[in-house]
Amino acid sequence: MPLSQRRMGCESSSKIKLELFRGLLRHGFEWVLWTHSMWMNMMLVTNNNPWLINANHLILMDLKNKEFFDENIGSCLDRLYNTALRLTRNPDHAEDLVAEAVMRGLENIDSLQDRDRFVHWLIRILTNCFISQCRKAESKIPHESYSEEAVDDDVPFSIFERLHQPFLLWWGTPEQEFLNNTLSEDISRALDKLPDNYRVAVLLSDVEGFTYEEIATALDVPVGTVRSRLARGRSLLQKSLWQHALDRGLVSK
Amino acid sequence: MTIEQKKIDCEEAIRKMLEYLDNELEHQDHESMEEHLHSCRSCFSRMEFEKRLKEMVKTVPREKMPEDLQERIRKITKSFQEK
Repeated sequence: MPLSQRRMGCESSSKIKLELFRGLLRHGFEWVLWTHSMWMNMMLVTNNNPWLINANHLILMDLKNKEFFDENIGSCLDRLYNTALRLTRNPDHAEDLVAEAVMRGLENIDSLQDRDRFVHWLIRILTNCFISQCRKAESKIPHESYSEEAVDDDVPFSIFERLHQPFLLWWGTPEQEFLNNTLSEDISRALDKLPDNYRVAVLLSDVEGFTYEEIATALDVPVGTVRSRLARGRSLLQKSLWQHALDRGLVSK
Repeated sequence: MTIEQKKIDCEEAIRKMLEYLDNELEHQDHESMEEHLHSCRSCFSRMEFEKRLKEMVKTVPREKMPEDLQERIRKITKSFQEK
């Protein structure tokens, strides 16, 4: 090989080496930059991205809520079953209603805002399930009414007004005597006789201790409607108790 | 009794009695109601009757929950835990 050619070859070989070295430096630097940017991106994604933070938080919350649900449902079942029994008046239906309410509760556990009101939250779900069932049944059977017009009794009925005497009696008062003779099963029967609308309101207020606002939320009706349903429901309850006492000969017309 | 407190008659007291027992009256109405009950024997007796009846409804006997319901609920919660 001629010398000039050999020199050129050496030069080109040096150039190639230099280029390779430069390339390595450049790409190496780029690689470092790329790795760094990827790392930074990952940090941004995991630490600063609100969507991911929320998603992680939600997953954690979901697990915690399910855990809470699992730990506390056992102590609520008795109360749930009894409420369901009062609503449905049928033991088999009551069991199905509790099961449905528990499933809905688990599906919507994130809507539980106050853990101290867990049982109230479940009773609200249970009541909603019952109302849905009533509406479905109502659409199938037009005669079974869940409407406000179910009772055309606008005049409040009061046992007290029927019995109270304006003067004091040595043995007590007739209205208290009436209550002394009223058995818990009489109350139970009178409650069961109430039409659905009124029974739900009386049950939630008097038995479960819901406020008017809570009942209104549970039933998705205005507070005024709760007031009127309670007034009517209690009036009907007293009327039923009075009728039962008449039938037993405990009071006279 | 405060100066602004309004007096209520028996008719109003009877109308508001259940809300009073449910603890759903506004503060001023609640105070007026208590004032009336202190001075009216008939309304006081009525309130005592309604209160006792309300208590009887509250303490209506509860049924024992069937044992199989507990197991059914346990299965439901377990299936959700596995999801």
